[in-house]
Amino acid sequence: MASFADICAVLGRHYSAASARTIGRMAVRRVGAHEHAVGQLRDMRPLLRELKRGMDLFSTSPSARRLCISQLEELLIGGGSVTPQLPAHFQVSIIDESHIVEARTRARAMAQELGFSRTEQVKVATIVSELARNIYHYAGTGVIAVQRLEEPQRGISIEASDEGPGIADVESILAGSYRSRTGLGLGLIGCRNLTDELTIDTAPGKGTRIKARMYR
Amino acid sequence: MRRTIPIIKLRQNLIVSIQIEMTDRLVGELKENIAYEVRAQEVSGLVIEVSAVDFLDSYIARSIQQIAKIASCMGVETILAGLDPSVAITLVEMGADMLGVQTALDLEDALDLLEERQAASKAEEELVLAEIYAQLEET
Repeated sequence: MASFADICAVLGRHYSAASARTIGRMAVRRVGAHEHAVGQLRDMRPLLRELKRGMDLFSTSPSARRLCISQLEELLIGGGSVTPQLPAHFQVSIIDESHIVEARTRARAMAQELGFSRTEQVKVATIVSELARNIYHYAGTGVIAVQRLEEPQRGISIEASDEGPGIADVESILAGSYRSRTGLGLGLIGCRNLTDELTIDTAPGKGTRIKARMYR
Repeated sequence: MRRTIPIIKLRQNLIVSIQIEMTDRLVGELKENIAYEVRAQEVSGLVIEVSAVDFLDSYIARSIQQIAKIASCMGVETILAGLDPSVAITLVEMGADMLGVQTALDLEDALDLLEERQAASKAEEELVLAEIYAQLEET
């Protein structure tokens, strides 16, 4: 049975906690129910309709709104329990080329679930793809770890690590004065331009560890 | 099932519409297939239609630039059509913009553009021919 807290939890994935509570409260009040007895409503559809109306009063991206509605539908009309969230973090070992696609597809799904706009989702997928590609081309194998961030700000953290040859002169690559034949520089510069935070920890023979963060 | 990207000939042009997830293997294959098709079909224009592509990283972007350059080496003009707004924003912010590749809003615009160019170059050709004939008649 879905509870008021479940509804707020779903809304909270796409709206701030305060907005989520307001939307939930208003909708429950408008259908004449009580917050502690939402599960006893015989027909959930009026509540869903009111929730949608409430959502329109708060801004979010169209894709997040769509996702939120489908998650609410599943919660209230479908299974009745909170929709399974994607795991809060995942890892993809980059061994062959198909793993690049896997890493960026899963990262994008997480970005979507976090309520990132369509453009931000493309950026997340692009960053993951660049980092995974660098691992594949230069280190051979490595790991992409993606984590959902809730505090202090909602976002996504991407970490690429490998035990490859390392990068000798990161500074000049990022400054754009060095151009590899294969485009490593372009990929790294691109990542830096797209992320909110990027740290690179590398030295020749020491492998490479790149952390990128994007906030909503 | 092995997936490939179809290359379609329409009048004087080749059209490549990318509708599936681009892997590196696919990009490499496409580069080669287009180069050979350009020669085999004797076309004068190439449109790469990407409206269904919701993601392009620097490697794929660079491969598209290379395809345009390869085609240009063979005398064929390339137009990239239908770039998704989110993808365009991401590419420009990255700094990996499609420099050197002609672009059009959609497939229709791209074909119009190519047709215009082809008509213009044909008119020019006829002008040169007329001049040659005139000179021949004089002698």
